[in-house]
Amino acid sequence: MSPLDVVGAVLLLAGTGLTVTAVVGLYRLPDVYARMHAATKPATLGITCCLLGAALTVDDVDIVTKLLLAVAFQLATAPVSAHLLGRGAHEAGADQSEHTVVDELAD
Amino acid sequence: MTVVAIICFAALAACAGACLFRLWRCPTLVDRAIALDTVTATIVSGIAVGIAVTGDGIYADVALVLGLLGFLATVAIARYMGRRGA
Repeated sequence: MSPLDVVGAVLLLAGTGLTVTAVVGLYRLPDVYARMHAATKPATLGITCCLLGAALTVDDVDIVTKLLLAVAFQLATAPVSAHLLGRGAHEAGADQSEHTVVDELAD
Repeated sequence: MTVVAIICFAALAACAGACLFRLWRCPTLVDRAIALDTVTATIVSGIAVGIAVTGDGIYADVALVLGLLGFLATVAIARYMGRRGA
């Protein structure tokens, strides 16, 4: 195994760990908005780590380009979809945790 | 690399199963949308692990398109939810 392969394997493991974190958060966090946070941030970073790890282990330029493009799309679209989902949830009147301090969309 | 791949595949399969269970049994529509999003993320991660193991580039296209389709699905559900709630 070359050093790049080792770094790629570590990135793959890190991405998998982050995806596991996202799913644990999906089950454990108190309200919809907190769960959305869990599903967005660790999952996006997990995908990014996994795709970069795959890009480091492959030696074909075409494949690496496609993987980097997938990372770029993921990083661009994840915040947008989470924002739309949060706004839609608020419009639909989703329950909020009792620990919520500020609700700036309410007024 | 094979050991790493087996660990990653097992963990990602467990994640996808947990998300699908959440999709089946969960309180609200928003939670379903979030679970669906996470399933897509898990599948893309799994495809990345598969590419790293086999070195086969066919699935890179699949990962690219699946990421964009997951985004479209989430946007559609969010629009529908906002319109229904308003």
